[in-house]
Amino acid sequence: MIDLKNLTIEKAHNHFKNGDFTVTDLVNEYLKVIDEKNKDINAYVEVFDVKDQVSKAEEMFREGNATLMTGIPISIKDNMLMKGYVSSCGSRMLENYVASYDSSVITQLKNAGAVILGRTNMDEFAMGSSTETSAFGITRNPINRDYVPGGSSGGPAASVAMDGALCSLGSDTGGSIRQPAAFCNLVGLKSTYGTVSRSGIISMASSFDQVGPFTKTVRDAEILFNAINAYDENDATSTPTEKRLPATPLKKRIGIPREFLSGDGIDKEVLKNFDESCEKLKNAGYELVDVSLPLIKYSLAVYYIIHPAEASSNFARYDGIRYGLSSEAQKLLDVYTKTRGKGFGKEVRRRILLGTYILSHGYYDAYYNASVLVRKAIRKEMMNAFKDVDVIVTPTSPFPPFKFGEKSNDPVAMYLSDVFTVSANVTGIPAISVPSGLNKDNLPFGFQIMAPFLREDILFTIGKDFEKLV
Amino acid sequence: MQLQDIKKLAEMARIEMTDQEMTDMANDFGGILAYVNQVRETVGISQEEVNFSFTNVAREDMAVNGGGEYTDILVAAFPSSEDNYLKVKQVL
Repeated sequence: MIDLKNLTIEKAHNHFKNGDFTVTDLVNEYLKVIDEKNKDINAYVEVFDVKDQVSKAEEMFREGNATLMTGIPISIKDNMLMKGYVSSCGSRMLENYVASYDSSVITQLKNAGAVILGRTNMDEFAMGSSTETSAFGITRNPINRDYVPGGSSGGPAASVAMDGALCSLGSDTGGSIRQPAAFCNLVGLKSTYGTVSRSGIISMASSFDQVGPFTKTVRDAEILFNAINAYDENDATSTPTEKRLPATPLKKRIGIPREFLSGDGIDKEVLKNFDESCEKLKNAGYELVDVSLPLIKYSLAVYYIIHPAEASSNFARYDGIRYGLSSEAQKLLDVYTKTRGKGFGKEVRRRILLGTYILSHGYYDAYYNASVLVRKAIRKEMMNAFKDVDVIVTPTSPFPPFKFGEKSNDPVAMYLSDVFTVSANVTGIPAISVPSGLNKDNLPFGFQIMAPFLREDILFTIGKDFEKLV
Repeated sequence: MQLQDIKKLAEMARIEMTDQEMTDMANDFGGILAYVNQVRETVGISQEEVNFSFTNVAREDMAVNGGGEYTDILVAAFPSSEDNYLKVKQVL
């Protein structure tokens, strides 16, 4: 019996090196858990046959080529192309679509000898904050199965929280890694836009999307991030190696945007936990500083204007012609309209229509162009604030995990899940969510730390300090 | 937003929906647009203040793969094909 609950990447690596157990042994333990729990939790949409991956990992250890990620059982979100396997993005549109190439992050994981156990569930086309919109069923929060795991990367989060993988890769466009991490008591990182390759990642909103790790510890997030943090010539938005920044000493000052934290929509217990978290850091030697960010409150509105516009453009490719679902019809136009009507669920259709509206004649200037300007101004304001502090902190989510159906009737109520996470996507800065305690119902809180561009090192340093205090 | 407005958008977006679905959508839109409209509150941000410079990183538009390297795998994904051609309904 291997203690999966307390396992970390480094512990597993040392056990492999010392011969305490083999990659086969560890993978089998996770497969057993998946067998036991996945029927109810539905984290995995498909579990892969991993024999070849396991052999390769064991060979790497024998030959002395093993790195920290070798043999590590990892799951991926169902939007990352892996050649020869289905990537369905939680949608009927791609239910049987077989990837024709590997995403760059998959290539990196394969080269490292990681063992990719399977693809995990998500809100359809990454549009959601609860994993309730997947065409392949809901995913349950392993901490309490009546509650949502968060979204859109609910499957990746649940797979780790249920001990069905040691770590996972999700994607984050408005908070889709950090919010499920908070809901499932895990660490979730969205790194700087441009650090991790988007090649082979099914696009939602191209100027926001980033792939990142779900892990149990900050150190594990650092290890997994390091395995995928590299320039990729196949991604035109990839940050060149020479532009990536080195670590510099911390000012040990933590910025708190007080005005932003005073809305009605924030749960009282969440605020209390947030204040307690800040106090802990203060007692550990950090200085708490109030920062003024008057424009940050427009981030969510800006996000809900720009990203549907980008998504509606990106989703034009799903037309029943070259791949994916194709509806039978007499006329070409009907092939398009029937395929898209049938293949897209309600939330996806809603956002495509919203994007179409925003980009249409007469509204383009008032909505899209205006938002692009505001977005740039928010970015500038954020960069300015970082001159005085190392990080800016908020709760990850304005409320604790909710029950299935609780937010399904009002789209805006669901969208408000992202009110704190979305600024990092709007500006491109890196942000991490770290577990910060449990509420009276034993549901987890998450603490969000945001750093300047390309300074993931600051997130890891402060994250590790914070971890010890919880 | 009225049903007529949603119908126009659905037509532009090439999505077939029932009248009921579109009526529900029109209702949802009201709340969403009310929320995002706050962006129009922000005034006085000039284009000059926030311009960043851009560099074109696209490579030359030339074929870099050997002919036929990906044909089989791409044709396999076609909903309908004939002799490696993608088969579609009459275009004109």
